[in-house]
Amino acid sequence: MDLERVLYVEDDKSIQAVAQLALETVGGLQVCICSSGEEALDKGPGFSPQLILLDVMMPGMDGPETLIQMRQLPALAKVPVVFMTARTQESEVQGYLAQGAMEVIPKPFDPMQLANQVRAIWTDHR
Amino acid sequence: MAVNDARSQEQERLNALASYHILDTPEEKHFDELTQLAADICDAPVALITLIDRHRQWFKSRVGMDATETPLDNSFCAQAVASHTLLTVVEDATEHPVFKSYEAVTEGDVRFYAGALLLSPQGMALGTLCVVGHEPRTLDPWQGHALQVLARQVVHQLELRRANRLLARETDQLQNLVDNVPVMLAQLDEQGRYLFANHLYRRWGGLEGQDLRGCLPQEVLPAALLKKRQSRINRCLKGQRIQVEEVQQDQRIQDMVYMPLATVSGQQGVLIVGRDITESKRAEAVKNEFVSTVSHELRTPLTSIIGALGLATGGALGELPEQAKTMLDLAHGNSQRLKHLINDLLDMDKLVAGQMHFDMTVEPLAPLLERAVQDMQIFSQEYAVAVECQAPDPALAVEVDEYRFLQIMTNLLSNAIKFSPGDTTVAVSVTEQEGQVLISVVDQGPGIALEAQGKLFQRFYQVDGSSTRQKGGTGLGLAISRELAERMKGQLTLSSAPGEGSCFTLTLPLRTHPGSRDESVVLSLLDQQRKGNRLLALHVEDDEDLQRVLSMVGTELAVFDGVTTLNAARQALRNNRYDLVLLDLELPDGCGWSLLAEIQSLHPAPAVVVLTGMDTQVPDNYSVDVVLIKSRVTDDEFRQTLAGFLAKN
Repeated sequence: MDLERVLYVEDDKSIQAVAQLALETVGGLQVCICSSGEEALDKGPGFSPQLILLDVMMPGMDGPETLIQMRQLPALAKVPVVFMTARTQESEVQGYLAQGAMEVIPKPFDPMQLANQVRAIWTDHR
Repeated sequence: MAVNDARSQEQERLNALASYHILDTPEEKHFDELTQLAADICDAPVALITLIDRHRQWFKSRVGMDATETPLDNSFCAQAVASHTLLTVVEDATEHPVFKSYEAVTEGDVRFYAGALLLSPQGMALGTLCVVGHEPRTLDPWQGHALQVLARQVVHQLELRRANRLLARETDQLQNLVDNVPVMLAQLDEQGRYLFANHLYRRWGGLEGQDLRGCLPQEVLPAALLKKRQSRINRCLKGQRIQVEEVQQDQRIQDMVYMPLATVSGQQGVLIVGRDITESKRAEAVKNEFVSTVSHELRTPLTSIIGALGLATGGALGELPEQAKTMLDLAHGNSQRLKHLINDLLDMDKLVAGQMHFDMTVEPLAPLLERAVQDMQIFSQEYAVAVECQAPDPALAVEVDEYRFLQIMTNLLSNAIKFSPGDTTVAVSVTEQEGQVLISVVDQGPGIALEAQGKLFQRFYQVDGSSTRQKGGTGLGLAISRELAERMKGQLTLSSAPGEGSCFTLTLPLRTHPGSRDESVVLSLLDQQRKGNRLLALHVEDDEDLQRVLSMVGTELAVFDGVTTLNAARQALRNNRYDLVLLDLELPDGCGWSLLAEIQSLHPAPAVVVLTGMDTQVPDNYSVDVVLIKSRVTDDEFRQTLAGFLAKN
């Protein structure tokens, strides 16, 4: 089964716009965009994503907290989560992985390669 | 004039007397014994140690007399001191021209007097040791001699007390110093008992007001602290130096060093030195948070800028007018440069602070280089530069952090490509030399003048400002690469001349790659080259500093592979044929003895030198060639041991 549906959680509207183009137009993926952790918990189960891209620093519920909450929802409990963050010091990345992130994509990302990166992570995961 | 001289001499004498701090002190057995001896030897009813003060004579010790002091008028002793006569003997005072009028003679019953001068080492007359009789008599010469000997003993006692007092004062000063230095200090003897502990050590241990001298840590330290310190003290008593950050119960952080230190009795004790680093740790945490936040805040807007420009220049938004594409390419390139600058700044910050973590593993070199070159393929095509890499010997391996190694290679290759004219070649070659691997990146670019070469590795240095900007560098790449190389025990060097291209060489210590050997290979070609006519030694030791030191000490006699654990030692023994194993006994994953059976099952079995911090008995069922104690073995002894094995080999 190929990767088709990605849930993308990001509070920054500019980055949202770039990533949407990168994932949908360049990458041909079906993307559900949420602007907060709360929105992702609300919309996520209905969308049935195969993979979740999660920003770390968000007002209100941050990425790690959102991940914990997602693990409580049966529809999202087992969906692999990839953190996207500009905080990429070694200790921080180790922390994200320890919190259950499958992979970390650093920002700024290459929009022409983002979908390929996500697909490669998905393939490795399977 | 003569009066003045006499006055100043008397003042000098009084000062000398005062320096002993003896006047008006209580009676003391040592002096009383000497006085009694004088009375007995001279067969006299009265004996005194008399000290001549300004207006009185004061008796430090008395036999046969009640008064503790008397006025100077009519003092026999004052007269003896004034005349500076070593031994004054008055056989019958009633017949003496001066003493016959003294009250003690006219009113009292003093008839006989013999006084030996108390002369300080500086020649100052302090008083006398004297005997007094009630009948006229003579003093035998041997009695006079004995009285003078006893007088010298009195002065020795005075000197001893003064020296002790000075020593006590110096000890107090030292204690004061030790108590007031802003570090914790404690010393323990060979049994682990406290010899001293300064104020801060006691305060931070919750032991204020306690005298720890003679106590064992388990008798005084709070349980939580004891748990941390006891095993470290024990290990240190066995010769290990330990440096560790201890987090105390009140969350203060202390940088503790436990170092073996001989006590005055020559036994090996422990010196504990601790420094409070809570504040610097806090400041470090604040700075880390700041750096992290700033980088996040810079990268967030950059993410959408680079993303948007990337999509536009990448063609995701359709065909662009040529001029627009040129401008957007320019913006995209510069936004990328900004990204690299932020990354480089963060890397440099971590390197300078020593906070960069290196995940060092032994890796075969060929695949690493292949990957480094492959990563640069698209970049080199943009510049129409070919990158050629000579495939290295598959047995060659290096110990590196793979990510950081690739970072260095990427930096060297991208520099070489950027500064190469189109249609030229960048060559990557590998050579091996005296236990080192030399990886060279050679370009056919403009070359670098000698005077600029040294500065090239400085932060933000630009050989030619305009060209560097034109080439999109950050000015940090080479500084970072050199730092990275050094942190991985390597070097980064340059040889170049204007018009002749540049050659950057990354030198790393050669490692043997576990698994790259067939066990049936007796000794690989590589090892033969490495060792020449030296021993091939495996050093199993968790203290990497000691590994380095011994490898330097023995470098002419042996080539060393260092491992820090028993597991790594087992792997190395499977893959290499060693002449010698240097074995520490206390290793993180077990005791060195457990490796002996495996070593002895090898054919041929390497010689074994146990190099340990503690005195040790070799278990009956093991055979060991030599046991060396770390704290005692000298460089020469170590070399002689190696030379002995080399001669047999």
